[in-house]
Amino acid sequence: MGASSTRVLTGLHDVELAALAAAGGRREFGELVRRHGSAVRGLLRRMGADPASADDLAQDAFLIAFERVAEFRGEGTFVAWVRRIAARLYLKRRAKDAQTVLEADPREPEPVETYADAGSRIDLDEALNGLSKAERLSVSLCYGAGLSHTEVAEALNIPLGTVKSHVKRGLDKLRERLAQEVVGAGSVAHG
Amino acid sequence: MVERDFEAQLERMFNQAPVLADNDAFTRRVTGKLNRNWRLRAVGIASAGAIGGVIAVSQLIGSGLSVRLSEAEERTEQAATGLFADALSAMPPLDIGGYDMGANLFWIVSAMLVLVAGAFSTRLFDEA
Repeated sequence: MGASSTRVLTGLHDVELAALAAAGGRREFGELVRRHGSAVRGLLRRMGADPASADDLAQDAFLIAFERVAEFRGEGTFVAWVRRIAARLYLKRRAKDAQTVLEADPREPEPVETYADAGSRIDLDEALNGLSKAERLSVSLCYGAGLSHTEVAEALNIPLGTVKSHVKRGLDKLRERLAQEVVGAGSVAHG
Repeated sequence: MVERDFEAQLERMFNQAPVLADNDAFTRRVTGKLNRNWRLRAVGIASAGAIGGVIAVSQLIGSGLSVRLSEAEERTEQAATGLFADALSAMPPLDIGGYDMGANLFWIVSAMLVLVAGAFSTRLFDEA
């Protein structure tokens, strides 16, 4: 692959790349993976998957996306579409492994991952670590994968009211934690 | 309103996923798998086609196609000969100075028809 053709690919919009991928363009799809791989892997980690599983799931999600890329019509963003696929795949895998235990137990803090742009490291990951598994999963599915409360309830096979409670409690905790971080950052900056 | 603002902020934070350090390695891994699957599929389709072709040929041979073809050829030849003989016998003899022109006339007209058809088709090709 020449440098000029790579430049051409980087200049194309996601929708154009997806259309070319739908015609069998694997290089074009590779460019989409390069652009959005981190976003999909990041979401899976935020949902609670360990890094290795998140990478495997993200890979499978992209392979499924390639098979079904003709279905992507560009109504939403490409990355949102793949994230939904990845999220559903994660839920399916969890259900298969019978590990969907959604009692309110706080998570153990996970090791901080290495980011290429450490400066833009988002505090959201830290804040999510303070949520229970159920809260973290529900919040990530709603605000990260773009699923509705009803879709989450169906996917997790739990009542809609329970999902709403998880989301509400998760949002309250996140708001509190993120506010603390802002205050903390402000006092460090002034101190 | 405050709640909606926070939800929008949260959505933005989820969308602002940082680029992971091994992003290029992950991309190579996925594209490698994609190419491998693609090659496997191509081999699978080619193999299925080859196997189908072999089965089709064996079925044709097994059904005695060549024998039936030669029989059909023989029947067609016989039918054509009979038709030609009938046409000749049905044609009134053309007696010019005691010479029977029936057969010659048939061949001359046929040759002329072939020439006209050839010229017509050549013209059609030229115009196309």
